[in-house]
Amino acid sequence: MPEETLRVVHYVNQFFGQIGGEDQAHVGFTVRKGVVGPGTLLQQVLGDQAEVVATLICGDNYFSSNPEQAAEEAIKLIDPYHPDLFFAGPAFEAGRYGIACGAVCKAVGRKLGIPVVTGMYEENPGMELYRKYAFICRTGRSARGMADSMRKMIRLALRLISGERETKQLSQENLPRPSEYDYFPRLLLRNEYTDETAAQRAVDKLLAKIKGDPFESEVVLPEFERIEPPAAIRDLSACEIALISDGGLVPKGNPDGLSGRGNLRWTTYELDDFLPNDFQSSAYEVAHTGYFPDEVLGNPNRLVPVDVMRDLVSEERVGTLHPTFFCTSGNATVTRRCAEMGDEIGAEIVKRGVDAVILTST
Amino acid sequence: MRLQIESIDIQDVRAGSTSAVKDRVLCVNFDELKELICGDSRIRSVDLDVVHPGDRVRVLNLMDVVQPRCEIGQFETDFPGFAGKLQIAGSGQTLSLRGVAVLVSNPHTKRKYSALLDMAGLGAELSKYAKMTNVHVSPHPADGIEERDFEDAVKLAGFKTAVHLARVARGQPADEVEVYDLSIPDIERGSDLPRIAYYYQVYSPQHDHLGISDPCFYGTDVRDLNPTIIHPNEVLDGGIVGHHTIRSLDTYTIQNHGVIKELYGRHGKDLLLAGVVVGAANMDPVARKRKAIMAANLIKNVLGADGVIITKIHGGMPHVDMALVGEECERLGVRTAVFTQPVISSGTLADTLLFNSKALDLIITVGSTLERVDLPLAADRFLGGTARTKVFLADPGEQHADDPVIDQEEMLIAGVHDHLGGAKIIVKEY
Amino acid sequence: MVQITAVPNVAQMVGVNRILRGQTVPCVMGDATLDSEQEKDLRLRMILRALEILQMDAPGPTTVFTLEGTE
Repeated sequence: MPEETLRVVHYVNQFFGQIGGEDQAHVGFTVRKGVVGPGTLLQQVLGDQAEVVATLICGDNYFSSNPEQAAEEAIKLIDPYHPDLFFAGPAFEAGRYGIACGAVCKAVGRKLGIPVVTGMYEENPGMELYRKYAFICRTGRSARGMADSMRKMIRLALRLISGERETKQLSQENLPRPSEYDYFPRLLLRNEYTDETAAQRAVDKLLAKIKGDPFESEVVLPEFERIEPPAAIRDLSACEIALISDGGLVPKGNPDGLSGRGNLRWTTYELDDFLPNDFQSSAYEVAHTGYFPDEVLGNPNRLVPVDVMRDLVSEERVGTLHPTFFCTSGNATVTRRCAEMGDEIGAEIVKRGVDAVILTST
Repeated sequence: MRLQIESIDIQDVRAGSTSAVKDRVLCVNFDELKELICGDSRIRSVDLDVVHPGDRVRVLNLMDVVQPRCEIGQFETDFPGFAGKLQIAGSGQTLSLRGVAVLVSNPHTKRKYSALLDMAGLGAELSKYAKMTNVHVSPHPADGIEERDFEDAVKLAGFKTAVHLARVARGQPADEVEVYDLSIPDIERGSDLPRIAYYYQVYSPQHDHLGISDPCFYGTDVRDLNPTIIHPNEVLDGGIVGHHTIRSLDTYTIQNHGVIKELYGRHGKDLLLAGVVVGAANMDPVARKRKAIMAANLIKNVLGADGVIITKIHGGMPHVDMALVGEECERLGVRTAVFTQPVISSGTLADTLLFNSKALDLIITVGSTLERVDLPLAADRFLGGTARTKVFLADPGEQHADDPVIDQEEMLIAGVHDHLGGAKIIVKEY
Repeated sequence: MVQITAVPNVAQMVGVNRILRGQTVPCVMGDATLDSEQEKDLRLRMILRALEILQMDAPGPTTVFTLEGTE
């Protein structure tokens, strides 16, 4: 913990900043020295440990109409105060306020590298959007819970700045436990030590399950959104088909640096150069450690079926084979990034006017 | 079948002219051990070392870790099919040394990755083997020996060493005696206690180095294994061993099988241990389905289980395979608990599943095995390799054993994670 | 889009609407035990099946297609 008093900057909206109500939601930024509104409580609880040196106020509509730009503006106003800690809100249920708190925390956390803490109700849209980028404490719906929420936020902030390592984790990082500090998990996964072995836990819970008693699974099943299927292709001979693969087939040397595990990138190769009919096995490698690559290296068409596609085109059974091959490696990649890559590749394919896709996976 | 394991606690290992145990110190004549190991014509020479907790030593290219054990009374039957003559493991009296592990390295490995062990620093804090005094075995190949042949020889050298060390302690009084006595045909039929079986996925061929499966079951590989019923004692007594590479799995962990020991401990109290079915994961979806229904059938209609615990080895395809076994069991009315190892460090726990069956509603996380840690050990010594030995890096790029900090996945640090349920670890959302 | 995979359960789980079961994990559009002509023929039959599936109304992730029919 730093020896000098910690410097704190606080962000609030026009209402908590005592400028006005909904009628003032359009106002831009103002900075006031010291505390404003709930900042008084913030300072009270912080006591001698820290000083709220400035409060940044902004109208909810002004901010939420362009959050990224507003956040940039906010940084310029906050930076001169050289804060050690940054608080926003808490926003409780208020959606625009929550988005503003989340966005400004994200920007401050990135640009200034200091702990950024806010508070929101679970259903505040700002929570899902910004939970990765800030520490968002769980609050109730309304400002009646202001005192408790502030205390929670402060307790978490002081823990973060102390640099204390979490000994329950195998990795022993400065990363407090969400259950202990009541903040929304930030989409990270970490190993923790437990009192009971996995075997003990499994047997206890299985016996409860068999008896019909309640039990807690350590993972709860995901809900996958239903995707509306595209319509069927009408006329194959007029169709342009593109090939995609997540099997990690790349040119020798892996020029685009796909990772064999936990890969986050996709790339493209022009099929005429990348996989000619007279290919050489030595020209390829497989950036994917989830399967033994020899068979694919022996004949890359076993993963990316270009030879057959070319034949079908020359026989006029298919319109065209799209000249670009879309390439990625999907081995232990975070689901979210998989979905993002799918969206990115999909957008590019649609842009190019391709009619259909064949995706080959291991 | 009745297996009695007599454990002796060892506090130190030293080289000596005679092999004996005195005051909990294991004295070993290492020349004798070298001779024993080099009796295998595939091995030209072997380096043997002792490492202690706190030593600034990084042990590289680890292939296996083995607990020193030997049969009392019978000879040449340990690790049947590997070191010993073929017979079913799991009966009789076995001597076991606690506090000592045999670390087995292949310094000439061509595999893309192998495990390491640091005896000091964060890596040591994480590993159960870093708290023990260990005997390190690092053989070198005879001329002209083929790669896979040498790997088998290295593995065998590890078993021979384990048996040899345990034999030195014969005659010492046991610090603890464990009895594993289970007669499956005689399990009380009318009992109220739920019958719990264990499905043990022992292997997956998708990573087979050079396309050859590692032998791990009575001396043979299990690439095309049909689901097979075995007695739990066979697992505890060397019938099943680790693969030729450590991915959170080694022989030591199998010898101390967490799920089997837990079920055994509660047999007759709040459950009946109904038996074990072993299987291998499949690369072919038709085979996957066939074997899943066969496994479920054995569990339900032959072992008569009410519930089953299902574990898996490392990998995504093994995850899917195991889930299919679980689904088929639930379909037959056998309630399941399945073990997973998340392999990502961001997202939610739900993101880590590769199945979406509502019936698989009891999931246990043994650990996030690909979690990465920085190991800043400035080692004085490197065993099983050299300072410049390349250490696997999950990202494009290179790192070497003597880099000031190495970035390592936890499954490649021997003794951290345990697919078989013996570790006190869970994965949490942060 | 049709996905050809040797692990169709995962595609089903995620909700892919047109799934064709592939050969094996390390060799999804081939079979190293066949000679190269037979193997290419197998690959052609798989692609023709995939194209057939693209011309059908999507059955959704409850169905996994095989070369001959469905699972």
